[in-house]
Amino acid sequence: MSLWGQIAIDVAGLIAICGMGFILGFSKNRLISEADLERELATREPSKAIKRYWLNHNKSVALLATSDAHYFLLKSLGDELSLREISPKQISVNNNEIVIDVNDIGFPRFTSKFAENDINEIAGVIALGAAA
Amino acid sequence: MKDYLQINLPDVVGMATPLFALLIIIEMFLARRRNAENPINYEAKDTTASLLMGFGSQIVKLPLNLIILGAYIFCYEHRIFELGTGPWVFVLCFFLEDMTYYWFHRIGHERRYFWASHIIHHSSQYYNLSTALRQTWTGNLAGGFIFWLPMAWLGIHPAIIFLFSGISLVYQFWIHTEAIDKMGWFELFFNTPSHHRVHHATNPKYLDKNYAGVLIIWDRMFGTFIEEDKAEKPDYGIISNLGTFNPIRIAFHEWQGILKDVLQAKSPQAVLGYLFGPPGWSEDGSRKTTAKIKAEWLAAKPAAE
Repeated sequence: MSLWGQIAIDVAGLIAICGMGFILGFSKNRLISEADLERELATREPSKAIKRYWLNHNKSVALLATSDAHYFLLKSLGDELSLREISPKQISVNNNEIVIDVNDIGFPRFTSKFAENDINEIAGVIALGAAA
Repeated sequence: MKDYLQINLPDVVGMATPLFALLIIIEMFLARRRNAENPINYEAKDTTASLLMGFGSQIVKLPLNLIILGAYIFCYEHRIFELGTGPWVFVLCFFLEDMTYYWFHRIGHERRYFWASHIIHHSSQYYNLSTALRQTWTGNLAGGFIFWLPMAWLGIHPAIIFLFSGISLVYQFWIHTEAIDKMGWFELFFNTPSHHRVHHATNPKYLDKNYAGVLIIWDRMFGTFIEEDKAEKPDYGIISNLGTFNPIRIAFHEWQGILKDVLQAKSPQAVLGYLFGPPGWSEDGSRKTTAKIKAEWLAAKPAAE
């Protein structure tokens, strides 16, 4: 078989398998719960405890502050979660959205909507971080 | 310079590709039957990313194939033994190739330069047959193939080396599953789904273990073997899990990390450390290597129990 024929078959297989995954309903975003936050932090940073957390409007992103003033970002990725320590300098506010820039191609910059009260509180955290 | 006679052996990976597709689809249907205790371990976007990584790795390989083949032929033409192509050479090649894979794989975890390519295969937080196809785009470009060149130099024909590399790759496909439990006596000698689940886990207890390709005996011999503990379910992925399913970002994120670190390094030693030290090494010691993660885990263990 020619190289192009092989590539065409591979592409068709790829589309068929991925399509099957979506058809079977294997695509959803996990809703982050408080238990998730505690479990993920305990797994990755067992010496730290949550002091305060903020969940975004659709519970797919959470910002955590620990009692020793470290900040973490938890993002749902399909049915799994990804946790990163971030600096307040990587968070900014744009109208009613929070912009998070981890500065890493493995974790792209994104924006997310939070409740207004939470945005004010997060803005306070950013200000504290900038002052530090 | 010695002769190089072309011999034609089957392309086992090409032959197995349709089977890969069929088995992934069967595993997807099996995944639908899973319950709360054993949740569904498929995510369509993750599977798409894995398959795109696999497809991309095949495409990226094409322009490099000639250079790699040239390197093998050069080594074979300067071989030190006349081993021929008889049946016992195939047996020897099977064991040598598998041991070479073990060391290549182990160094791929223990040295950041090689980890930057291999991390791609571990970047999924899911463990299923599609994860097996989540392959690097930069492995050969970074020189990963050099690990197999000594075999050609010893006198094993490159076509036989390619055959057993292919068999190893095909073998390693089916072990990427949660659908198969422990396999009795087979676990003693061969790499199995149970052994390889451990290898993909980020639990401190399981980190940097079970590097085997086909035979698990190398891990048992070189002290990197660990049994899957039913009481500790593997937590799949990498220490800092990615926040994206984008294949381009998956392919290059660790290389970007190395570049950033090297550009900010304060000494030539630090440059070497960031390139060839263990993943997680940093000049100020602020990051965590596997050794540090394990040490912290061991220190905390008595208190936790």
